[in-house]
Amino acid sequence: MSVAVAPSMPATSPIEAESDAGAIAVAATDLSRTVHLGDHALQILDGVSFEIRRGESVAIVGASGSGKSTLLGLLAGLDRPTRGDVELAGQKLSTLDEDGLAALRAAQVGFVFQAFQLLTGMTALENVMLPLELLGRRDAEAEARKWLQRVGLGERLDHSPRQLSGGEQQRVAIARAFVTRPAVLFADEPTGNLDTATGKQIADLLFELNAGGATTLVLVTHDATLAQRCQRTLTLAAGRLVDTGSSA
Amino acid sequence: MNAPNWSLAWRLLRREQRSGELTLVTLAVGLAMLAATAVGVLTARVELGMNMAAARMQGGDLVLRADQPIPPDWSQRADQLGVAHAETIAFASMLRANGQFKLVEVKGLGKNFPLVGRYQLDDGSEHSAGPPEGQVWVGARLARALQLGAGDAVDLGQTSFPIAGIVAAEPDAIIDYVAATDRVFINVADLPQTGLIQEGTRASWRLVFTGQARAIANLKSELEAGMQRGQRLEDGSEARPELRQALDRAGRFFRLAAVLASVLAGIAVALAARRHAERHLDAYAVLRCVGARQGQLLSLTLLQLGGVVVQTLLVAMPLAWLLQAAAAWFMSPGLGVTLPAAPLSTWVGGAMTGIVVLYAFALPPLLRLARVPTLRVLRRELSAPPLAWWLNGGIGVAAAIGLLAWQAADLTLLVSALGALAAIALALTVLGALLLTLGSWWARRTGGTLRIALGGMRRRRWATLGQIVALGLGLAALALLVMLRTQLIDRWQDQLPDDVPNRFVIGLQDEQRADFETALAELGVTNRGLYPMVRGRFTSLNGEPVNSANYETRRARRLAEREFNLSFASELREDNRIVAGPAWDLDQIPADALSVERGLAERLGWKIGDKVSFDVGGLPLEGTVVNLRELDWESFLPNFFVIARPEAMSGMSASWITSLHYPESLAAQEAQLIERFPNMTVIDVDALIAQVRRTADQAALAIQAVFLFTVAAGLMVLLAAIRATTDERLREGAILRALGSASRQLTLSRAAEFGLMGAVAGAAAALAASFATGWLGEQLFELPFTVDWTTTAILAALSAACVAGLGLHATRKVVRVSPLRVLRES
Repeated sequence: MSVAVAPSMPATSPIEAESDAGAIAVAATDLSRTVHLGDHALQILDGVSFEIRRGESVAIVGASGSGKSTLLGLLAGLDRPTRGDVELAGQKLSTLDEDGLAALRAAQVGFVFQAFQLLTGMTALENVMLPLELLGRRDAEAEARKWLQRVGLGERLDHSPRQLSGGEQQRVAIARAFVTRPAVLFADEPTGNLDTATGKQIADLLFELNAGGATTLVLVTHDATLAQRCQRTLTLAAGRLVDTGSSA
Repeated sequence: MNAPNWSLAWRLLRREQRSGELTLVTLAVGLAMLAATAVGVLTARVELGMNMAAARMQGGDLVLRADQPIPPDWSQRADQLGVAHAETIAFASMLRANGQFKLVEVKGLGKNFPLVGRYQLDDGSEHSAGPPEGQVWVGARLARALQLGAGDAVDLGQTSFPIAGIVAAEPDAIIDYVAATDRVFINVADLPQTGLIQEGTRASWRLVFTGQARAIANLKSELEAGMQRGQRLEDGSEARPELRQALDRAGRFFRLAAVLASVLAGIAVALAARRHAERHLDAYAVLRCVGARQGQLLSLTLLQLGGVVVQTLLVAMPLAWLLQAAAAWFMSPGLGVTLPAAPLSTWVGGAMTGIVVLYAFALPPLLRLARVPTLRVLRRELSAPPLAWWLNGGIGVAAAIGLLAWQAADLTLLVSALGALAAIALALTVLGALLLTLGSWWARRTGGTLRIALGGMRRRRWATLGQIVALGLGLAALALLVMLRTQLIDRWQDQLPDDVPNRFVIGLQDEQRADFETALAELGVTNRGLYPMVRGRFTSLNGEPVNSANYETRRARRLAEREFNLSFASELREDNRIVAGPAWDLDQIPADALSVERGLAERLGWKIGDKVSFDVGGLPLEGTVVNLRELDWESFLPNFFVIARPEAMSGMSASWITSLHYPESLAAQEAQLIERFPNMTVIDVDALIAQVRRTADQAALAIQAVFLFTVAAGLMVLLAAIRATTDERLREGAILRALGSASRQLTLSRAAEFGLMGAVAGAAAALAASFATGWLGEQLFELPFTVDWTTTAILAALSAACVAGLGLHATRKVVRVSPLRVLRES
């Protein structure tokens, strides 16, 4: 699979030096995360290692407080591990500074959140244009329109998030996540704020787009049905990976 | 990817403004820009106009004086610049008339003189040119002394001239009334035939210019660069102390108001920007999450602020132009001149004030925004790490101080204003902390609404403290200006009462004093005391002969060259305020003690303990400076630069001077008084008093207008401070309502919380402002130190009511919007 690298990315960008190591999109090696609360150290993740192949869909499940969201944050380069490393799209995250991580996310990563995380001051169209504009893409508006059409919001381009329902907001978020054609899409409880029917529609859309673009999908969920639709499920318990088996 | 993303920045800015997010920031910056520009430009224009008005009292906008004939180059240059010019020559000579000789000052008037103003003759006629060729005019005092009238002949040098008129008023005499002397006016074309001007004649040549302000300014700078030895330039900047003092005070008030408006606008900007930053943490986290680098976020922030600058410039500058133009139009008649345009630098300075206020106060909270952790998209409790203290507060404070120093253009004003604000902030912090501690204690012992209110204050203790300090600063600045303004206007009204002296009487001899005082008593005119006066030239300082060329400023050079008024006194008048050195007590001060006006001492570099010498009509006068005085020029009483002990001047021929209020009803008797004392000169300053009164009235009105800027800035601080915690209150209110709290209870608890904060902030502010007013009044405006308790109490009550009202209004959503919606949106 080829990785979409924005035309305006600098020639020296670390992301261009994508390894040929084959088919691994995300690899976690001995990943640990400890936080200190006063004198007390709290181990949130402990020695987690796994690999996710390109195009694969993987669900991370576990009870509340098992470390799912922390793991997602580490995999996406939103946070730094206390120990271990993550390789994302062929790039070791420990070798990148904050701006390097931002560049990697801009070019290779898409996100969908439980709380949608749309910018309320912007219209649906502007929200979807945002990642492309940050990449300096001139075709931002055309591309964003296309993706909003694709998620069924072609008539709601100029609506602000406040004027949209929860399901519609999540569709905008999905369009925003896919608009840069990311190599990996991370989703944190993407249906968590939605009713069952809307949640199902959103999940359908997510998997349809994922299948169409061969994007690797990594999602954190409590929803067993959603997890079952993924090719594989990683199960966390008390910060440890207890199962890397497949549900597909 | 590092290039600034203009379209994104513009879109964000547009959106934010549409949603009202940046409205308060934009308004506050616009207000700072408007206040600084309008006040700066107006003050500069009034200053220039005042100089022009004063210069016109000497016959033109600009005067080149010389002890040699002035070559025609400057006249030609003036023609090229479109500047009108006229020449005069003055010298001393003997005049013969009616068989008597008299030493007089001969004043040769060139074509076009006077360029401004008119000569008034005793027959009531007014003339915009001097006497025609072959004729002379004589001054009223000389006419009285020699019993001359129109048609009589006088001999000057080798020629005899008929008198064409008796001069009652000269257009350029008021400038130095104490030097008034016996004058004869002659057409300059007649001078050669008198044979009085020879090689080496001691005379004073003057070339007077008048024209457009810009042309005059150009000519002035050329003259300054090209003047020769023995030439000196006068532009009126040292004249008219009576008028200047009133306008100086007004100018200081304007600047203080503008400085306070800028500081308040800065506080409002900082509060609003902080809230803006808090509300945008999520958005910036998302931006970082989707790949924005810190540099990009920073440039986005800077570009958005740039957009605010452009918008405020487009609105504030034209408004500033309108405001200052209206104020200038309003004040011009009082000064009797069309106010010249202000230099470009004042416009640039005003605009810069707004820009600096924005970047210095808004940037630190927004910089923090760019550092929001990306992980916030998953964990909302994460916030941006605090900035280093020097970045957070240091830059803002330093930039603000620099800006204010520049805007205040006066160290005393700046230090006083900042000192007062810092003291008020400290007092507010202490009182606020006290309120929180007491509130915390009380919350544990009470219940219901008050407990909710006090509990809310305790939970938001830092925000509450910040709100109290910000509210208090805003209120204190307002209170400060209200009190100062009232005192200043009262003072002007007291200063120029209906019986302010309107005549200066000079030239009385020692032996005439008793007769003169009797005459005044007979007329029923209040005697305000006769003061002795001698004219002396400054000759040496600490044994070093005076060389005027060694003084840097033109004003100092001129003072070192000219004669000035010396007097002696066994005690000083009350309005002579000693500002350094001991009291003027003859038992305590040395025999050679001198009391000196502070401004003169500063300009000539005299210090207490210095030995200064004068030449008083050939007699030496030496003395030691023992104290410095400040004079009240608005009193219209005779003032003296240097005062000695009475015995120090014995043997020197002093004339006596006084000022009187001569009522209109006694006009008929005035001529008799003058006839009874023919050697005295009476100078009518009614016109000047009317001008000072008019100027003070206009300045008072202008002060009310400028004050409005500060009121607006103060209101913005109130609003920004209240809005700072609105979001949190909404969320808390929604939760409490969801849990079953009644709307009435929530409203009462908010009213109690805001009312308490308002009362504490208002009382502390009013009290602090009251003390600061007393102190600032003394420091800046020479007003007596008083604490205004009534205003303090009224302000505290008003502030509690206002803050409670505004607070309830700003947080009305707490009880109006459904809790579900609030909780969803937050």
